[in-house]
Amino acid sequence: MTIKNSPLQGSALLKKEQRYVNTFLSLLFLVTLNGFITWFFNGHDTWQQWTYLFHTLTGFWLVYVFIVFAFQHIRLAQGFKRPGQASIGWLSLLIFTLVSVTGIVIAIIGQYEALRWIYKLHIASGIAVISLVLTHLFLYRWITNTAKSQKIKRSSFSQTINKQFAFNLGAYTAGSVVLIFLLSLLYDARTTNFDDQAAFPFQADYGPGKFLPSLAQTSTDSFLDARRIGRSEKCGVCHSQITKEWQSSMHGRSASDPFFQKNLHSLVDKKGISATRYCAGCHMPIALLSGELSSGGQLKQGMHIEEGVSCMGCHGISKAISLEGVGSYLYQPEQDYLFGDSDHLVTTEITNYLIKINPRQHRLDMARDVLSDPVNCATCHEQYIDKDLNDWGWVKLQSQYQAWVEGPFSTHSNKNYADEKSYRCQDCHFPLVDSDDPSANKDGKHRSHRTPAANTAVPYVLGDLEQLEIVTKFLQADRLSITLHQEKNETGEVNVARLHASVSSDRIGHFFPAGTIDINQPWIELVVTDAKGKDVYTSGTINDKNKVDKDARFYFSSLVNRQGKRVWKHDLFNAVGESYGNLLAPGKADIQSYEFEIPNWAKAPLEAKVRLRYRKFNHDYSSWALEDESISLPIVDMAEDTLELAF
Amino acid sequence: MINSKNLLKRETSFTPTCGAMTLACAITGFTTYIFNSHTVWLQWAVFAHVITGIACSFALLPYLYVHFKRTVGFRRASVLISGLLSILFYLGFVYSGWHLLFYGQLENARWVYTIHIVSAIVFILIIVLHLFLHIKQLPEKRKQQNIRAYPSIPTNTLKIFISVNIAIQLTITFATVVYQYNLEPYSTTAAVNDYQYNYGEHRFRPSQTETDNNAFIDTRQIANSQRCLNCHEDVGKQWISSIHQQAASDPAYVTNVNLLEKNKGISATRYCEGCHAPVALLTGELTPGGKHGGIPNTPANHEGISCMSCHGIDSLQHLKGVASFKFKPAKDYLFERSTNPILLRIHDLILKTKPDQHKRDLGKDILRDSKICSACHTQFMDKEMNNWGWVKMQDEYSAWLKSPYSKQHQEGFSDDVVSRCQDCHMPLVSAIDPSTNADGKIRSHHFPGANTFLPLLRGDLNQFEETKKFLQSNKLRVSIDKPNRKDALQTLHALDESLRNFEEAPYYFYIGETANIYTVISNRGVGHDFPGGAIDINQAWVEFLVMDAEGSLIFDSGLIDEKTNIVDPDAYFYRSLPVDRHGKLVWRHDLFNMVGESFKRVIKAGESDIVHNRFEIPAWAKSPITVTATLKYRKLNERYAQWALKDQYIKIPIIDMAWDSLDIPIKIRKEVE
Repeated sequence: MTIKNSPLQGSALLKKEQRYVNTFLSLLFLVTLNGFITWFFNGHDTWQQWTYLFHTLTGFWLVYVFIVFAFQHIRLAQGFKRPGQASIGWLSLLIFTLVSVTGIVIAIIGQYEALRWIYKLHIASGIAVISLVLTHLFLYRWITNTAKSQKIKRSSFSQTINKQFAFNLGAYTAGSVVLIFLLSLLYDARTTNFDDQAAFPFQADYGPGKFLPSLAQTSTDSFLDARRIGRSEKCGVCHSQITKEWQSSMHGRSASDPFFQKNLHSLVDKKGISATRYCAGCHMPIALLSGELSSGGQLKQGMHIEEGVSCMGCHGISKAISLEGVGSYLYQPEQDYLFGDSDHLVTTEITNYLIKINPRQHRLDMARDVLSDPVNCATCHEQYIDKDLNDWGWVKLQSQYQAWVEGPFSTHSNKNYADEKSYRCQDCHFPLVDSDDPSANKDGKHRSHRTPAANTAVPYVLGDLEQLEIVTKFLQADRLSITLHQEKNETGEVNVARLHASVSSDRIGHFFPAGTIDINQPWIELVVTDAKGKDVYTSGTINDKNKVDKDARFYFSSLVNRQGKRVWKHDLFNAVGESYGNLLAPGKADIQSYEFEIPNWAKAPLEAKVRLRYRKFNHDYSSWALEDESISLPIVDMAEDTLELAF
Repeated sequence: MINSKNLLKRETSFTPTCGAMTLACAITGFTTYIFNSHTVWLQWAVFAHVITGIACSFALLPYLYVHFKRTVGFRRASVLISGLLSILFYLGFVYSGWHLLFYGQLENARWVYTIHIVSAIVFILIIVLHLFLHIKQLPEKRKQQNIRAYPSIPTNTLKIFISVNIAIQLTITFATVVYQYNLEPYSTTAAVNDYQYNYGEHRFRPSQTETDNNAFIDTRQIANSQRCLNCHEDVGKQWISSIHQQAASDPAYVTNVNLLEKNKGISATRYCEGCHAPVALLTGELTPGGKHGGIPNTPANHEGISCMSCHGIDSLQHLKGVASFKFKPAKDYLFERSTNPILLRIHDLILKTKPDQHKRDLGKDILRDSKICSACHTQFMDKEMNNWGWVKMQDEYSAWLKSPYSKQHQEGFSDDVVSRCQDCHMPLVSAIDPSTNADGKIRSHHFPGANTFLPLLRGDLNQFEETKKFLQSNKLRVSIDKPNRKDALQTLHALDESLRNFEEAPYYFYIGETANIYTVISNRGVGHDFPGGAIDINQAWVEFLVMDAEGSLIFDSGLIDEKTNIVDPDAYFYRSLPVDRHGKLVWRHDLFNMVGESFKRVIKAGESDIVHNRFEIPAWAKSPITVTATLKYRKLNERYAQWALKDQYIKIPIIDMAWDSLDIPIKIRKEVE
């Protein structure tokens, strides 16, 4: 048996191979170089972003060239009797396949959060391939140099890797460097499409601060182009599920909300547009930060109204300036990807593609640590009003963060009597849901941006039944409990019943109610019926005018103006204090007592039924805000209990 | 050329053994994969697969090396590629095979087993393809030379293949026959002769227990928990710390079971032992001449609720409790009963490499169901024990069903997720164990509950701290209702008439006035009534203290007498007071005397209770007064503890489960109103 082991035997094959080897090796060098640059240099400069694109494009080219070359090379080299070289060669083929497949996957679907291993595998196999190819080449050189046969010796590198290789390599590298340099130069020379000037001439009604009386600030200390805060539909291109959720959420509707609109315009009428900055930091960040809120601005439609708390409204927050609320955040716009400032169809595609293949900067900007911290929520869910608006003084309004810190869920206080794990705002209000989003975690979940809470009114009025159902379910999920007790009759009055209803706030991380505590309406309804179903005693029933019995136990804050009259239209600029504030702190309970006479016609047994009911907006306010007396907002029963009375 | 001839010679010498081993490994492998039954024969096949697998993984290594070295350079791409691929898959099944050998089939690394099966099948297929391609691609020149098509396969190979494999199969069969011939059946008779049937025909009455074979159980089939620790060390150690393990050796239990034996005879202890010492009950110890679980140095006493006591439960008879489970022993693996360490190693090896039957027997679905807990955590007693009639006792399961956690009740007002008994009392913890989930966690077998004194008796501070933490973490809440005054007039501003209706006025008391304070105790995080378990001897109460600004005590309720360690008898207790037929308190937990309850106060899951305290504000009180309400819990009231623990008595610590306090200003009433 003879084996042909001279490489020159297959001279026809050799010629075929020679056609591709130069291109292959030069491209391999180029793609590796680009790859290493994108990996080593973590910056976000223009030239680096061009390099990502370049790496991707040349990567595809390399895969094509490699397939052709590998085929020829195997045909040629399989006849060589060199076990070591053969092993390394085949191993390189295997790993090259790996680096190609992972590269193509990233180029097509992008870097998914749950699939980071693909990116890691791409890097690791890339490094392995280069090491293997180099070893393969050096071994070849060593074999040919030390061979006894002159034939083999002559067939050193020059046989396959001829002089032209050096030229090719140089040309490719130099070409790409020049190209990237030129593209970067051109890109940086173009003028940006962002206009960071105030949309309307600034009215300094509340001092020199651009955004006062809202506490919001920008990292540039300037106004920002509205498009730097809005354009949420652009996020929806990749994050469609999350964007859809957000559109249904109260965040997405914070400015277009018909109730808010009514209050907003009544504020404009009374105090002028600049006063709306107080609301805008949280309700319309786009309008506030772009300088819309000076004379000339309009508040009925446009991106700044339609988007409400836009995606960037939260994701652009880089830190909480204070825990006072009223928009006490620092807004820091993202670092744009190439053409991020443009709205053109083609350039937008380039921007999105760059984010997809290398989302490093995108993650840094959009997933800042503060987003997973309750202090982020404090910037808007804490509220006060001060002299500049009510001409009186500091009045504290809603306070979710403070209540949470002091409650049993934060593990900040009373640590011994709480779970080891703290429950953040996000754990309840951004529950994990099934997802196919690029940012989904390993279990295939993302945090729902429907932000379920307690607003049933807006989804009801706008006919968003899905959101309404989710919010209702959220309110009823074992949040509060109510228990009825009958006091032992010790006084000797036979026909007097004394009942106590204890309401405990079991699983609410903040005060109940929260938010607009002056117009939200939770109350206790008690109905006692006799055996024939006749009402013996009632408290907190609703009348045919949709109003709740005014003697019922309510949980709310009653704001008053300087004349001692109730501020019932949520016109906070008139509020100087509260006459009544009954809110349930997290983990705390409240007792409401009832005493009534049992009429002699009552048939035993008597049954008492108590319900904790909740209506987003009391009827006075909602009929004023919607200018509709017949409005009937949904009422959610949050807990109930029944008791058979002994008498 | 000489070199390649040498290589051929070396390769030829490897082929028969290598091939025979690979074939044997494949045959035994497929046998164990395809037949999923749990026969002795199959277990021997598993063992043979392990041995041939080890041999095959070593034997193929030099063969592959020499073969590659010899044939590299042949210009036949398809043969070459199929050969190279077979090496890849060889690495796949060898790596996964050794992984399985060392770690067994880990619950969170099932992919290893999958890879082993897939790569082995693909390997075989590729080898066949490789041999076929070799013939197909044989050069014309070679065909003309008078060389055999497979030069490295000697002519006697087939003979060796067949004889080796027949030998292996014969060995397996032989081992099977010998093993089964020597196997003794398990005992199904009572451990004590002349077992007495005092409570009807049923052998376990008054306990509600059944066994799968309607007979007694061999001790070895229910005890021997130490053996489980060979593989499940972490879980086993947790169980040793747990109250389940001390169910029989608990000194309070020992006192009570001895009392029962003295009063009603040992057969009556079957009532308790179904849950406290299932080993004694099921093996037929509980008859005159036998030893109940309270007697030291018996297997029943050591094991308490052994591993198999729960893991051997096959189904429930009913939900009324008193050990209402049906026990079914696990099927044995080879050498289950051996004491020889080498044979035991073989037993463990077969079990961990092929744990299918082990999982079927010990990982039954019922273990994940809240129901299983009802077998012992629900209790009644009937005429046969108390000579009176049916009395309901603890019932954690029904209480849970009615709670917001079960989702079986009040669905509209509950969470989407059901919280089972296991979710609180067997929380997920990190551990090193073959059964850990993908996050490296198992369900804790510490079974945190409310027993604080048993861990302390043993000095097991870890279990004590865990129990204490469990009791304090968001389980109950205390909230003092502010005593807002309707007659308060305290505002400098004019207020609209209609707004004055609301009662959220300031709160304060006048000197000399009678103060009424209402406190809400809510059961927030207990899935059943609070307290649970033996509420006749567990002690939960509200301590209520009122002090003035200088710390002088104005009013107290629920304090402990320092001398006697007994709680103020007028305190507000959560407990039950069982009575006997003479109306006397049954305080020794001698339930066989109990005929009913004179008092019972518990807080249901998700509900709350109101405590009313009334006291006078003395003239000397300095404003403000501080009102503090604390919910206290002591496992075992003092009277019972002193009686039951005897010489092992310790001062059982009192756990504060929740508290609240409120400062209330004191005013002197103005003469002019």
